[in-house]
Amino acid sequence: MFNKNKSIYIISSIALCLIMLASIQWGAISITNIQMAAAVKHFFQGKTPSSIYEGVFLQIRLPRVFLCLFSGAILSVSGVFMQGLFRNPLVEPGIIGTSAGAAFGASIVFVLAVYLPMDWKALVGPLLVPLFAFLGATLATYLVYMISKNHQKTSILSILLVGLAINAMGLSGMGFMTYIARDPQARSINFWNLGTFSGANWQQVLIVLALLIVVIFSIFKFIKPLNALLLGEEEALYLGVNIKKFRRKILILNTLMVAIITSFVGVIGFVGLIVPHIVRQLVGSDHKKLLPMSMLVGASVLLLADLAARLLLAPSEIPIGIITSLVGAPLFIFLLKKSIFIKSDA
Amino acid sequence: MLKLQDINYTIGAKQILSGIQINFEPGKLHMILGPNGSGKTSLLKIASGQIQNYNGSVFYDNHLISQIPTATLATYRSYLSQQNNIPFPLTVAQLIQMGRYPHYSYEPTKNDFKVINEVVNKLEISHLLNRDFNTLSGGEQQRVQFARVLAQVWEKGTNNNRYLFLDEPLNNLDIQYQKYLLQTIREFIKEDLVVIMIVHDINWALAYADKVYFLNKGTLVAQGNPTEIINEKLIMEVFNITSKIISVPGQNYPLVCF
Repeated sequence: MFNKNKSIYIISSIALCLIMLASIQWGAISITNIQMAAAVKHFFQGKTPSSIYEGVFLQIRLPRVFLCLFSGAILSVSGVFMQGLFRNPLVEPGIIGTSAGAAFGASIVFVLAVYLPMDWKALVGPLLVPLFAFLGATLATYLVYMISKNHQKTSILSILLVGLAINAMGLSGMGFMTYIARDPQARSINFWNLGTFSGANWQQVLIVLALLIVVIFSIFKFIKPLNALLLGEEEALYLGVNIKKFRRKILILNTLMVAIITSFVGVIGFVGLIVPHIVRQLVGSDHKKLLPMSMLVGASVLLLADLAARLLLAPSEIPIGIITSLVGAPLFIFLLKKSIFIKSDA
Repeated sequence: MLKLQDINYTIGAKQILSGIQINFEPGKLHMILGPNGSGKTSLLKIASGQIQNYNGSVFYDNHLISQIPTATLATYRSYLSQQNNIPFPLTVAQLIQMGRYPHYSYEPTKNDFKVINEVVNKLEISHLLNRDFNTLSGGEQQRVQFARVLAQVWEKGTNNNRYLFLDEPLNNLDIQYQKYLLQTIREFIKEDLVVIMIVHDINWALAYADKVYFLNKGTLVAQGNPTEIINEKLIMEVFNITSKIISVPGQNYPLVCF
């Protein structure tokens, strides 16, 4: 018993390393260990890559793998945050409309950017898209939280239904932007809809890494309040949690997380549902173990999904959102059945 | 000392509590009685800091409750709610440990574990520690939650006095554990502890309470020493039933028959 958690950590870490290695090497172009070593050597010697393989490794494969890894960790933590806040294992950013809101916000800037003055356009990619994604995600989260909250209890059925509506609004908003967009743009908006890591670059990796560091430091302060919330909002207050303040903090961070990831790689649904569910089976609901473990497992799961997205129909790619939804939706139905149809008080 | 001054509370147009004036003294077991919907739980939630949109003032040792930070109050005030469903798997040990949350920042200290140990032994629930809370019976859940709130105020905190609120703690308990819980509370009471609980059974109030408070339609109709104020007329007035109060040989408090 005393080593159970430790061994779970070790096994997950080893699995993550192996999956990372596979993700780097496998793809439309395979990269061997020797080529990897050469690329690293040349990079540190300051030389330009000597072969196409080295270029693919440094400029395409590596940023993709790191972006995917960090995104998996962040999306999984987001799922844990939301489930803790709403006190239900069924919510995650894709289901209750946060991601759709972010994607809608991002698509607005993306389509309307052509009308911006020249000197503003440079801001679009790195700044305006994430900012509008954040605004869209904030609006979506706020609406779901306020509408589904009646008096003291927040019932899961109302969260899911309001989430459904918000999701539909986000998607139709995106549909409208696609309609008025010019053709190459329309294709790109479609990518936000389904999610992909094919456009990963080092700038995105660095921004997401910074975000991940913020998340890791915040987690330490969130463990006790999230655990206390398992007992209910009233109980959490009696245990010394300033609920209003805490809710605001965690919602802002969570929205920021979802917005940044979504603006870079699009909507990747169900990761925040699948990963915490698996991890709860392994280590239980204590957030002290649940949060770090979800990051570890989340990174592996999303890397695997990305690998599948690249390899299943190689050399062409399937959007990763399709893969995660294919796996996640049945699990969602299973959890829904468990929580709504069995418990009458849902 | 916990002082409620001129508490008025309405939800919408409905008056829940009106003109409540109570001083809860430390070292005593206070019991609140009254029919369903008479405002007992609202009163408890106002006094404990859960409900904040009332009129009037609540003082903890002469500090206005709204001036005390949530985290500080939690070191010397705990509250047992009526019922609680937990939508995630959680072990009993983890749940009881939460009672110490207000006292440590990241890792529980040796002292926290010592307190948890003492509470668990006191309530004889050590065999439940590794169980999932959701698989316990209603009575076992009640005892585990009681252990958690007891652990929270087990020791003297940053404040002079400690406050323990119990909303119908006897629910789901069989008669043996009802008596056991009441006796545990009696033994636990020290000169710095205020215990305020809601009960339904007038006979338990006669046997264990130091002071009783009868609520009816949101007003306090009687308060005082149970053997002095409980009589057939009061029971008729509050609960609208006839009763008979008889003395029991060898027992220093009477029995109410309905």
